[in-house]
Amino acid sequence: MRLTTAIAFAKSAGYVSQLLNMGAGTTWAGKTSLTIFPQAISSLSQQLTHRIVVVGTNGKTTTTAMIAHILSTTGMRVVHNATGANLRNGIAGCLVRYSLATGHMNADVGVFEVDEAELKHVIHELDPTIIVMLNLFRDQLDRYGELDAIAREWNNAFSRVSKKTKLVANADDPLIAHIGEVSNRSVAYFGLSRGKKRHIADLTADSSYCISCGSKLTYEWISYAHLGKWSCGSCGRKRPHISVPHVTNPLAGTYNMYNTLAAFLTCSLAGISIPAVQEALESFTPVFGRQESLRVKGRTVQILLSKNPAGFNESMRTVIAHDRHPVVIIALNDRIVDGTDVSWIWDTDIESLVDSSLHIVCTGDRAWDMGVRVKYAAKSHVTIEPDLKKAVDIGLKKINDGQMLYILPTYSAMLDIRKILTGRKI
Amino acid sequence: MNIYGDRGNVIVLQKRAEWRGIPVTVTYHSIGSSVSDITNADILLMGGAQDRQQHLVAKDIEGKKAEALKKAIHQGVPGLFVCGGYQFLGNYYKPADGPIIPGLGIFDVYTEHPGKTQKRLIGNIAVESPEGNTYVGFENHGGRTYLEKTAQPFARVLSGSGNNGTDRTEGVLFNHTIGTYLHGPILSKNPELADWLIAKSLEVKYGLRETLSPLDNDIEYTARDTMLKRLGIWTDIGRKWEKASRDGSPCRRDERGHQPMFCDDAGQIDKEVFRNREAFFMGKGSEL
Repeated sequence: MRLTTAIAFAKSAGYVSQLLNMGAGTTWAGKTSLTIFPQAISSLSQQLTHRIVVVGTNGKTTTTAMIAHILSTTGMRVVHNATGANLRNGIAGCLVRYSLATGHMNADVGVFEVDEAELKHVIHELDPTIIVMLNLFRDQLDRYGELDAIAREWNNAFSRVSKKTKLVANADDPLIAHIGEVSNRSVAYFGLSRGKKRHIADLTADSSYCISCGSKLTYEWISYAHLGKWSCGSCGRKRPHISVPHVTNPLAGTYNMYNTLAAFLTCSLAGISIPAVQEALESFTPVFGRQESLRVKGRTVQILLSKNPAGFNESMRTVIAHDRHPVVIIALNDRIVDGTDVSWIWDTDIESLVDSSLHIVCTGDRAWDMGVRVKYAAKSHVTIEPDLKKAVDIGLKKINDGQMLYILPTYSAMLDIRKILTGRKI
Repeated sequence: MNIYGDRGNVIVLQKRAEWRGIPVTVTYHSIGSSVSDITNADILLMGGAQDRQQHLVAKDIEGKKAEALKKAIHQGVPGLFVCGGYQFLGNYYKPADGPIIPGLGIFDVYTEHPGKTQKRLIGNIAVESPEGNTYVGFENHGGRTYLEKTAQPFARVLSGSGNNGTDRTEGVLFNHTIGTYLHGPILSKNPELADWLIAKSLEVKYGLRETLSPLDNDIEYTARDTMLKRLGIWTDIGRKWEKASRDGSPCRRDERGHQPMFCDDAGQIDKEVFRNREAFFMGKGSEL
């Protein structure tokens, strides 16, 4: 009875929120439903045959979207927090949206991205059948704390779910591999088969020390940041054995190769055949703000969400690989969702990525901080304009016919820029 | 150790020296590195790290390396020790749980973690140095640091928490070495500090006392002013102030026309504010 009441109220809250253009309406709807019926998440999610949870610093939204796309292409009814609402309220709101007034789910499987720090609060409610661990990078230390602490939290969280829950884990990330190894459950590892021949991770890399003995890890090759074919010379730990199917990455960038492999393995575990996964991936298109292309005033703007050093570096690499003289807007905000500490920009590899062939426009709440960062990194042409709308206009004026404008925003800046370009945040 | 972008301090120092034609060699000292890295250094920097790494570093530095570090700092080699590095140079660190970790005892300070239930001190911070310079940064620390008898604070908190959130002191200054909780990284928006470290290193190494050639700091200062405005410390009036007079008065204005907080609009020392301020730095803090 209370579940149906909760659904009725939550659905109204969602409509009102959308009607007033306050956003996607998921979070408010979720909050309403949980207030009326605190067990809403478990009641609704237990009706799903598969509950897939995706965690990690970078790639959650893209991987979740890929899995959802593959599963729905093969005929399943999928519930999926597509708008990136990955806290408890957002997940509840999403379940409510796909539920009927009778309290039954109008879906077969659920695919949820879950915030790193939120995992411990929702994992027992969702009781996932598959948990996908993508990576752990330094991100928002003011909010999430240190990586080791997150890894410990995940370990504890995993001990609270069914022993039947399967893990899909990135073998190339030493910290993720460690969590898989100590989990005492069935783990399918994914990883790349080659990368750049490098033996030691960069100084700015995060998890380049052995979690068991503290020695510096050595690598046969590195794909990016601290991800690669690693081993420990002191205690003998090494990258777990991986199962790598031959798969084509539908998106640009090494980081998306990992997302694709993760989605592939997960869907295989959910019973989808390899050819069906392959076929479904071919029709996958980028999600909002993640390599998403928009047409504006006859020009193409590509948005590459860049909210931490590893993500920023990979976005910049992707841009440079596509354009020899790109115009790039870097939009740096420091609101709660972005992390209030912007010092991460100094951990980017912008020195080695950027040269005088780029034109950079720095914008956002902390445009001047980004300006300082670029000044100390490179001889690029730099314009500093804190106002997002003006910065986008400057960028659009600077590109030539047929050239693309690239925008690398933090999360809140991405939403604001989409609002400027399309009239809607998501 | 590097976390929270503290390697940016190295980048800023290197560039500001090189832009003036001073060649720089950067040596990243890590676990197992030779003690000569420390004895050969003209500027020493150390950042913070995750707890696990900090324990490894503490073990590695015991003995010869610790002695070399003490000797260098006592001899006047300039240094910047941020957050975990700052705590490590104090007398001890008492974690939320577990035994006390002894420090190097170079700074006469100690740090205690008030327990896991207490909030970390996180956020943007602005401070004022004894010379009247205003610096900004970002702090993020669980431990509270307290100054003992011989310790001089690096600065006074204008907005934020500082050493412990109660006595308004921030950091410590010993000889030419700064211990501080300011990330940001601190040198990126406070170029005066970077230049001070460079100038001191030239003085200690070559006996040079000349002032460094000026650089264009417009972007750095605007980044700082933006934060000072947000924290409510400066208003737009600052923009209209005249260019600095270089008469040696404590009320001289800097390149941007800003003058120390203890001066009034007419460029005169506000005696009461100034006395309180002197008392602050002498008495090491006041209750908020």
